[in-house]
Amino acid sequence: MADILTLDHLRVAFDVQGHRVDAVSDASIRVPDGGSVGLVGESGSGKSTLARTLMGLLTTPPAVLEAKSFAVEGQSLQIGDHAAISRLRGNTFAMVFQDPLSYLNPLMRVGRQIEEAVRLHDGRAAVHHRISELLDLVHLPQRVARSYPHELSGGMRQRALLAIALACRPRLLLADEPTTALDVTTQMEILALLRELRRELGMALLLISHDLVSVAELCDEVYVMYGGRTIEHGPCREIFRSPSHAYTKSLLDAARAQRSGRKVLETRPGALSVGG
Amino acid sequence: MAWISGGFVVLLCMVAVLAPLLLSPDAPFQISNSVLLAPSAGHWFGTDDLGRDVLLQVIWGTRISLIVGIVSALAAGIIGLVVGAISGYCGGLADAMIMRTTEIFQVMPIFVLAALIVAMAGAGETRIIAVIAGLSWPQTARVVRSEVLRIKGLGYAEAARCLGISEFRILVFEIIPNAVGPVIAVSTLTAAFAILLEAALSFFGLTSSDTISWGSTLSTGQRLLYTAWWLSVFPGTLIFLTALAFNMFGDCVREALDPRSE
Ligand SMILES: Nc1ncnc2c1ncn2[C@@H]1O[C@H](COP(=O)(O)OP(=O)(O)OP(=O)(O)O)[C@@H](O)[C@H]1O
Ligand SMILES: [Mg+2]
Repeated sequence: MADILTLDHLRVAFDVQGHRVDAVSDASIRVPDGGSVGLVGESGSGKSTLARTLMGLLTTPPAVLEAKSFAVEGQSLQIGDHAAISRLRGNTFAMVFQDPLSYLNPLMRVGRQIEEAVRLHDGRAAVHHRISELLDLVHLPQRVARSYPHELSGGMRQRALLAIALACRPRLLLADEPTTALDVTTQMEILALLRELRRELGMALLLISHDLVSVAELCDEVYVMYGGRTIEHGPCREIFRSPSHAYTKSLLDAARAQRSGRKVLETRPGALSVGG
Repeated sequence: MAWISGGFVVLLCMVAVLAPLLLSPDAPFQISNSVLLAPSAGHWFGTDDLGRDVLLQVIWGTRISLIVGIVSALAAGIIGLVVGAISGYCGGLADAMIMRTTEIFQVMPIFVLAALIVAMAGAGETRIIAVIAGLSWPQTARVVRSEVLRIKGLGYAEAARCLGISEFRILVFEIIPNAVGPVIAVSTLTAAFAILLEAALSFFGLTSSDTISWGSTLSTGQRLLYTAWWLSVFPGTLIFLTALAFNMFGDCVREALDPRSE
C-alpha cells in the first residue's frame, strides 16, 4: 500500500528569547493510504507540534523546521515550503482538535461554518445538499445547522468540527486528542464515529491520544513519542504485547493499573529536552 | 434599557429627518418682540434674547448634532477598523509604523486641535466631521489591532486555516466579526464625544452663525445663565441625554450581535 504521509527525522525547534528549544527533536512517522495510525506519548512530548507542523500552522520564525525527507502521496516536499503545505490543507490533510468549542467560530451558525468549508470545493448549487449530507455523516440532526456552537453539547461540537473537517474530503484526518475534553460515554461515541467514517470514506487517520485503549481500538499501528522523539513503532498488537522500550512499558503499566484501579506511582525522569 | 435608549435615538433621528420637512427653514430664526420669555404654553422651552423660540431651535439643531455625531463615529470606526485590522494582521513594519502614528495622535489634545483647524480653515459641519473622524480613528485602530492579535491565534482562526480558507477570508469572516464588539463600544463613545465637541466649538463661537445646533443655543444661554436658565438647560440636557443614549444603545447593539448573550 502506498503511503499518504512519510516523514523522516523531523526536528522542530522554537527560538525563545535567543535560545532554541526543541519541541520535536527526532520524529519519523509513516501513514499508509487509508490506514490508521496512533501517536501516543506523555504531555509535552511534541505530539501536537508534529501535527501542527503537518498542517503548516507553525510560523517560521519563531519555529525552525527541518526534516530529512517529507512526502505526501508519494510526492516529495520541503518541510519549510509553506506554500506547498498550504495547498494540502483541507483536501489532503484536515484536522480536528481537543477542545471543539474554541475551534468553532462563536458568532457563526454551524451550518454557515460547514458551508464555508464546502464552498471551497463544491459549487453553490450543491452546497445545501452537501451540508445535510455531512450532518448525516456525523450523525447530527439537521436542526444543528441553525444552532450556534455554544448551544451544543461537547459531543455535538466535536461532531460539528468533524463535519467541517470532512467537508473538503480529506485523504488524511489528523485528530489531536479528539476525545480528551469529553465524558466517557461521549468518548466512546466519537471513537465509534471515527471508525465508521474511516470505513465509509476510506480516509487515513492519525490519532493523537493519551489513551492507549482508544488507540488500540482504532489503530492498526502505533508510534510512541517520548521527549520529542518517536522511540518505538509497530503494529498495535505487537507493541502492546511486547513493548521494547522502557517508557512504553511504564506507559502500558500505568494504563493497566488505571483500569484495575490500582494507584499509579511509577514515573520516568527526563521527559522534556530543553535547549540543545 | 435597550428600548429606552433605542427609542430615544430613533426619536432623535425622526426629529432630525422631519424637522426640515415640517418647519420652514427660517422658522427657528424668526425674531420677535417677546424676548427672554420663560417656558410657557406658547413657548414650551421659552424664547432667547432675540425672541426666537428655543424649542424650534433645539428641534432644528438636532439635525446638525446628530449628523456630526453619527457620521464622525461611522467614519472613525471604519477607518479605525481597516487600519487596525491591517496593523494587527500584517504585523512587522506596517504594524510598527501604524502604532507609532496612533501614538502621535493620542498625545494630541483633540479639542485644541479641532478649535485651531476650525478657526483657521473656517467653520462648517463637513469640516468638523472630518476633524473629529481624522483625530479619533486611532483609538478604534488600537482596539481593533489588539483584538485581531488575540483572535488570529485562537482555535477557530486556526481551524479555518486548516481547511485551506484564504487568509483574507479568515480576516474578514472569522477575525473581524469577532472584533466588532469593542469597535461598537468605542464608536458610541466617539459619537457622544463628537456631539460634545461640536457643542463646545459652537459654544466658543467657532461655528458659523447661520447654522443652529444645540451647542450654539447653549452658547447664547451661557451669557444669560442667571436671567434665562431655559436657554442652557434644554439644549444642555439634550446633549447629555443623547450622549448617554448613544452609549447605552451601543451596548445593546453589541449584545444583540453576540448570540451567546441571552
Ligand atoms: N510556540 C511554541 N513556542 C515555544 N515552545 C513551544 C511552542 N509550542 C510548543 N512548544 C513546546 O513544545 C513542547 C511540545 O509541546 P506539544 O504541545 O507538542 O506537546 P503534546 O505532546 O501535544 O502535549 P499534550 O499531550 O499535553 O497535548 C512543549 O515543551 C512545549 O512547551
Ligand atoms: Mg497536544
